[in-house]
Amino acid sequence: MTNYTSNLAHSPAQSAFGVTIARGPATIKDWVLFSSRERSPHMINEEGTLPDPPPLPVLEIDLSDPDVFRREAKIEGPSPMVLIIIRFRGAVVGQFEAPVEGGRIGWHAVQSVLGKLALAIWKQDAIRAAPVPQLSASVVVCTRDRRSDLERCLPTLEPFARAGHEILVVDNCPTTDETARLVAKYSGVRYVLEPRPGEGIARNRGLKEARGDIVAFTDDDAKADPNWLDSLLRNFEDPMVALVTGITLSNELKSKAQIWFERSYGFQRGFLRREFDLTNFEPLAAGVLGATVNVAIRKSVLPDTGLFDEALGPGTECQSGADHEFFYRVLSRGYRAVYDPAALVWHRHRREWTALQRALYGYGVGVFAWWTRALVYEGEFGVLRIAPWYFFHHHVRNLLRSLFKRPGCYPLDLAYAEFSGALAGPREYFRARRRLSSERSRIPRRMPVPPAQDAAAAQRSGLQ
Amino acid sequence: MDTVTIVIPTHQRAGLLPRTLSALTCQSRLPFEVIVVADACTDNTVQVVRAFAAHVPFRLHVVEHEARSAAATRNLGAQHAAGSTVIFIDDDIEALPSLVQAHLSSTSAETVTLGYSKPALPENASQWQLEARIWWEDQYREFRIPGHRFTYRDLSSGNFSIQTNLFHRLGGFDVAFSGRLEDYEFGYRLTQTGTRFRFAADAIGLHHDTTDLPKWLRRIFLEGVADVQMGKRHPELCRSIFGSIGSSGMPSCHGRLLQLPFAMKGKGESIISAGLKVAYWLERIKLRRRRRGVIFWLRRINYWRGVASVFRSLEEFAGWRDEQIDRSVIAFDVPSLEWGAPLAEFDMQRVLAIGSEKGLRILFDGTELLAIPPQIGAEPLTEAHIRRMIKELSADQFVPALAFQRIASAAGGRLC
Repeated sequence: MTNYTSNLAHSPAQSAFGVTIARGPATIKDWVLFSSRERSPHMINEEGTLPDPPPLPVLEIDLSDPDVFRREAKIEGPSPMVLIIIRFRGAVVGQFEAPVEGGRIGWHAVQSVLGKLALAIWKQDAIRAAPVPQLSASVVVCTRDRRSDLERCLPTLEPFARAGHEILVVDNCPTTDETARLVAKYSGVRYVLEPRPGEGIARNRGLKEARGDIVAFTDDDAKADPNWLDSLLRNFEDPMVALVTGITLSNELKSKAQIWFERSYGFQRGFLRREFDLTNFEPLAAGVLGATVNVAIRKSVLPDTGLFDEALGPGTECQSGADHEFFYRVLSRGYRAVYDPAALVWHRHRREWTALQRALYGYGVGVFAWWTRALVYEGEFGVLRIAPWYFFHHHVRNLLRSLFKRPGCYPLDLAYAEFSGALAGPREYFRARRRLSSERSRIPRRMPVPPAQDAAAAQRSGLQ
Repeated sequence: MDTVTIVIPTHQRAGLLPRTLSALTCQSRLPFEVIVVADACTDNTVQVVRAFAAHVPFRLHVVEHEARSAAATRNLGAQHAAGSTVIFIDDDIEALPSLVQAHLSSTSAETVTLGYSKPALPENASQWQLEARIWWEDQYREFRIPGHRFTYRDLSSGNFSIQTNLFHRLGGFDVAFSGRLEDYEFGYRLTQTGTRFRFAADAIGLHHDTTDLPKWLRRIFLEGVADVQMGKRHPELCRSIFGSIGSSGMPSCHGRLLQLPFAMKGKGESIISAGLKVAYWLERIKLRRRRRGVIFWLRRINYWRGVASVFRSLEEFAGWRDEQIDRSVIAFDVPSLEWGAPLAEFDMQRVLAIGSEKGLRILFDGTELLAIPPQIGAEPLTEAHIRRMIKELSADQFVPALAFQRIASAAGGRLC
């Protein structure tokens, strides 16, 4: 179990299973704290190998339930630990691991962290009081031949359709018509076929097809919490906000890969709402914001920021990075982004270890690919500072720590995968661009480009 | 029904006026009167306005004078105003249809209504303009929060409305403040009479501001000059402007560094322009943080150059400041208010009135939740202000507050 920091106000984000707490203005260094050593798990044993852990049970408790500590919670299975996700009036305010004693949870362990949750409870409760603005939303799910995942995802989105929002499934270059047939069963869900492969392409199609003022994205292997969409929309009350990301947790921690990923990498960025803009944040560190598994975008800013870069993201040579590159553009054009943990999505992490290796390689490629784009096509000379810094302080450092089996290090194969991905990043980006431009010259443009000129004028005049 | 006069001061901007005036033709509330006050205009401003006057659905006239002062120009407009309410909007504000209606929806005559001058970016906006938009929008977002306590520094003259009587009773803007801060000075006199401010989020005017970094820096210089003037006019403000305590947003500069702007009298301009060049190149290669660092210093230097232009030496300035600050004394007998035990309406008003003047301690079950210092130039306290302050308690204070909240909810009430 991780040790909890005692000073609420000034400790850095301590996370995966510690409780993440107050943070000051973000710097580049902050970003690294999020993703590397501060959240290193104590999973590697003294021999430096990663034992196969038993499945980690997940227990959700709501503190606003008056009987919460009186109720018996029985934990099945051999795991000595349980992951407790704590809610307060429905919103998640913290998660941590507690020991299981004889099939029961030691509640004293829970009570000992309650004080650390107080700030999140206090702040989130104040935000929840704000009304949800009258905006229409479109929820876009991009998928490709993953019927069984989508079958779990769509029912969680149905309530949003009943509330009057639009649900879109973008089927990206499918090999069968299974997705189309599945979507036909849901009355409030619209099916869109995008024949060109690539997630960036599918997302852009979703952005163009969406009719709502706000476009919210989630993945087919995710499940939305009932309050998810309202919590995202609430942030758009502020006219400067163009992008909102939410918290992504996992409730299936069965395999070694899933447990390792949630403990040491994860998608969650803490339990406190944060705002990011040019005056308090460096856009090149946009990775802090989250990922496209849980994000909402104000459609009216698109003429100003542009769409996702189709050379980045899953399904291309770069494998990831499209989301962070887009976030960067939103911030650098002077808009505000918000990370709001009230908007919760459950994600099923990759089960197989080899898939995790590939994912980490992809993350390595993605970050350096999009920084390459920022340097070459946006003239961001700041990349020359941040990229080497991050490479040495994250990738090289993790690799060395794994080689010397330092406590809490990455397994060597993962550290190497990420490291080699980082080295390949710039090359892969140019390869992806070359491929795309040769494809574009062969295939005529299918979709008309949105009327950028008029929309840009409307945006400049400040009309939402 | 209230009669309304809209006053638009202008100087050499005949090209902008058609947009401003035609935006007013689409107002949801008619009729009203519009007075364009042309200050030292040598372009065809007067002809442009007269050409409009023939086919607009409101009475439109133009007044001319040569004062080269925004304060005097607004005062002249108000003198000609026939309406019982006067709305001041600048010539670069494009009003949305709800503007006049929203300005008028105030309930009390003793209220000044602040409009929402929503920044509209020019094409290819510079980094400074992007950041300025964030700054302005943050300002308005703050205004929108229920329980925001307005101060005299929240009044900006580009889009606000006031009862004509009240304006005349206070004598209008002070014409001695020709360059900057005449709106703050006027706002200060308003707060002294106990006037409340109100933010009308629907009184939207798109602000087509062309200000950029160099122009803004020149304004910062004038702000330094005007702050000294303000301190001389209202000595009680010196503590909040130049004192080390509670400096209200003015760039502070301490110790030996402060001698610099006083020493660089002749060379200041060249230093600033060199700094601007550096900032420009840093913006080109998008090194944002370095650029912000440069601008941070340029702003400080220019502000204090402004202050230095009034005094012969740092010693003279320091002597003047110390003398002023000593004069303003803060009371010791600060009253306290038990938040857990509701007071009768009349008692509450009385405590709040004393609290606004002397400061107030807020207790809950006998424990101090927060201490509100007396704030010069702020609105009189209300319960909503206190509720807001409780909500904003910082991290070290919130745990006791949370415990109190539990007690309060057990008793059936909420803390905030």
